[in-house]
Amino acid sequence: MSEGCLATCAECNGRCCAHYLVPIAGYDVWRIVTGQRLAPELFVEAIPEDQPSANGFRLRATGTSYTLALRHQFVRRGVRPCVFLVKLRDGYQRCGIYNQRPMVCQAYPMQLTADSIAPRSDMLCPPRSWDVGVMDVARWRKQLIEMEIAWALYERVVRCWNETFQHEAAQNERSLASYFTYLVTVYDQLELLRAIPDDDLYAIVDAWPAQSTSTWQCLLATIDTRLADILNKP
Amino acid sequence: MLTGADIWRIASSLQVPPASFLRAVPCEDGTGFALDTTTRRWHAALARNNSKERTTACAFLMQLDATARCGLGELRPRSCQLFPVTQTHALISIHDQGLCSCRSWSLGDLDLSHERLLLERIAAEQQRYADVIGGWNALVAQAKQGSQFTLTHFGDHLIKVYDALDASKERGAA
Repeated sequence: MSEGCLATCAECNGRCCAHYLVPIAGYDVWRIVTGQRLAPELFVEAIPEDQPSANGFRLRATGTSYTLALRHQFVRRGVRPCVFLVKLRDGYQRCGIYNQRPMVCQAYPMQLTADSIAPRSDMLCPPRSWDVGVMDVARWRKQLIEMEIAWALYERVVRCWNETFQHEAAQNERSLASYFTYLVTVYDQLELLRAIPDDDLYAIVDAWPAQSTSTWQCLLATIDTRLADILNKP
Repeated sequence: MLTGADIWRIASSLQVPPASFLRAVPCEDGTGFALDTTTRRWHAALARNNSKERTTACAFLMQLDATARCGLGELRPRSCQLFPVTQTHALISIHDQGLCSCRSWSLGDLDLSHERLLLERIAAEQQRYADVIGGWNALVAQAKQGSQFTLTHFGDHLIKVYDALDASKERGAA
């Protein structure tokens, strides 16, 4: 859900906030932790993966990998609303962290296509809620690509975490709290997401989905160098 | 205590009608708004969540285990923004210390110039709200004897008046 679309969502009863398990990246965790001054344990759930993915982090050298999702409130009348969903009178519901809501919530229900954007096939919005023909497609596309960049960055942050203890004994287990501390420490020092020059971002947006452009490769290399600097600091 | 500016800011930003987050509280000093042609007056306050899990908590309070956060953030009412500061006889003071369970406050914790600016803004918004309430009460007084109004009627009127005020402010700025 992007800027200017609250009117589109205003009459909805927040189905997306109750139905989905909302995947979040390290940047989302960091923004909510710093914006709300909340401990990650209060709003993040670690979801075990059946198959390890690129953003699946481990808590021991071998074994289960996990992804992160927003926690839900307890089940009430068969519904498990997001932990941040605020219920008002007359059926109105609103996100209680609207300015810091995760990137995937900001982008919902749109997804990138080769040269434009389109509603997701599993969209829960009422029919005809979204008309790409009258939307600011360029702005949405830029936002969706920024989200892709944030996830690419998170994959690297996860890979660095997993690599730090891959040679440790299998029985050595780290806590989820230590992973959260790692995330907040790394993102405290990573200015990249806030500092990608507009020209670079537009070069990536213009070339999307071709990810072999020099700007994109350069960005990934910068991310890797910056992460190595952060993790090698005494 | 809410002002019309608080109600308008929350309702227009969240795109919800005022009645979805307000409750009417009886007002004893006669400064409130009327909902009928009698002399009874009301204040608007944030609704409370009366669910079993969160008895009488503010409707915007998000409960996260033992921790809670305001779901309004920057939109929260001025009086919440002002807390723990209060004003008595034009002097800045601090609320009854018993309200905070995790800390105490002293004047050294406050940015007094910021608090003074906020208090000035609140005073201006209260004055404007009093004028708007005066206009509403005059309309109610003209209604047929025995007419009943609801918080929805008052809220809709408020939004209309503050929308117009906002539009004229924008025209002035242009």
